Amino acid sequence: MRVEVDLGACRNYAICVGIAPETFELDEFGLLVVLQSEVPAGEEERVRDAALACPTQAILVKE
Amino acid sequence: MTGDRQVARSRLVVIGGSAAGARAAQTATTFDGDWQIDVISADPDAPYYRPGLSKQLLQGVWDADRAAQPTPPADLVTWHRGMTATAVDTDQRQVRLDNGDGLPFDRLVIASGCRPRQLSSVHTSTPATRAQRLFEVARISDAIDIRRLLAGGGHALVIGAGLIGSEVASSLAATGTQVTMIEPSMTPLARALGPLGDEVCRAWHDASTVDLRLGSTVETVTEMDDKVEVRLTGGAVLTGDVAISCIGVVPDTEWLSSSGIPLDPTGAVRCDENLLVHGFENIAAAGDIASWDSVRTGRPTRVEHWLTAVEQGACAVKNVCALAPDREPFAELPMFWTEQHGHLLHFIGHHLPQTDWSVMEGTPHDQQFVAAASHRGVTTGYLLVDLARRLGHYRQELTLSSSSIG
Repeated sequence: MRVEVDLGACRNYAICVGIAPETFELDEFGLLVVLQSEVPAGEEERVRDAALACPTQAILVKE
Repeated sequence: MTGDRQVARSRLVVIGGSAAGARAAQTATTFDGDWQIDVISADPDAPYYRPGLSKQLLQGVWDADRAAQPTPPADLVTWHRGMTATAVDTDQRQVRLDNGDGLPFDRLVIASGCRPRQLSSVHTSTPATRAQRLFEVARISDAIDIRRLLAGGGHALVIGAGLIGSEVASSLAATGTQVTMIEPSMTPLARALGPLGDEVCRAWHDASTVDLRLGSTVETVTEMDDKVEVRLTGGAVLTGDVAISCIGVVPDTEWLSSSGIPLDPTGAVRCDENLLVHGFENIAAAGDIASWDSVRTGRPTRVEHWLTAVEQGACAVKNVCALAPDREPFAELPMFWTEQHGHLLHFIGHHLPQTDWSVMEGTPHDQQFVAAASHRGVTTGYLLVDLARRLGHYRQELTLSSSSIG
């Protein structure tokens, strides 16, 4: 599974960081960083939840 | 998953098509084995981004299409939209529907959710064919109808200043609507956000155009053709284009009482740590109707937040379709967020009314801070006020600390 974030739509709410911290992080300036675009098997559920929860619906999951 | 141990086609029925139910159905499509998946959804609309109801949808920034969420293809999941389950026959393993049909199941997930608490005294002089003036923010159609009635700005009377009421007021004020918010308590957000969160949100309301009437109780609401009147205890009458009731929710479970499903005094479904309904191996519950034996809090716990419902939907369906040794307790850290007048608050973890609060960084006076909730010396949660970039750090702190509050 791969994950991409539309950084034009992302407003750095950090909801994804709260759900899937292995995959998403905000840097020191508060901007989103995708730590791993290739999602390991154990993290897939959390990344799916993060995509559902994103307040700007900016996370794209490719199965 | 464990579906590979099934030899025949197994029937999974999910009652509820919102956060928990839709997530349960989607999760089940990834199971091995041959599952027939049916979802019974009272909401006639396809799944949408519910947190947007009191935010982008109410502001008119998003339309219904923008709020749509992915659903599994129709050949994998059969949706029964606009239909209501009226009973569960646990002996015959059948869910009865309001059209008289029965839907057999091998495994059942109950995720029927909460419904808005009703105002006690509502009068209407509006013929049924005319525009509705009193709303709840329960479905996408509510947000769209409210938006339409307030297209020219207008005046909204928001009843209840809790998390949803405050979001609704803040969203409407941002679009130029005049907002009067009526609330009996003096600290309406303390239950959701603790005293520091309550204080900072009230300060934002005070600095905004929202007219917040604390200590005010609604006596009657009267809907008319072209306006709505709200009469307060003491005699004052407020007039608006719409009134929006945000006075909380109650588990929608009365229909289960004759089914042998154990309910607690608040109407929540009692579940074990794996979200399986007490006394049943083949029935689970998820979302804001589930009171589960939380391994994290050490007590029956119910969470009304959307994200927890999503996570529980996945966990409940996995556990109810798995064999006992493969089940895993639901132990996700609860998290919710709210937007108030352009500010962003996160809460992660748990807090109770008797929780102690201490500021970890920043200062409440500057309206940018992190506060820790603790119980008997153990940190159980963090409130972050306009400090999203610190969420990862405090989440990790909470994961590392033993967060039992039992």
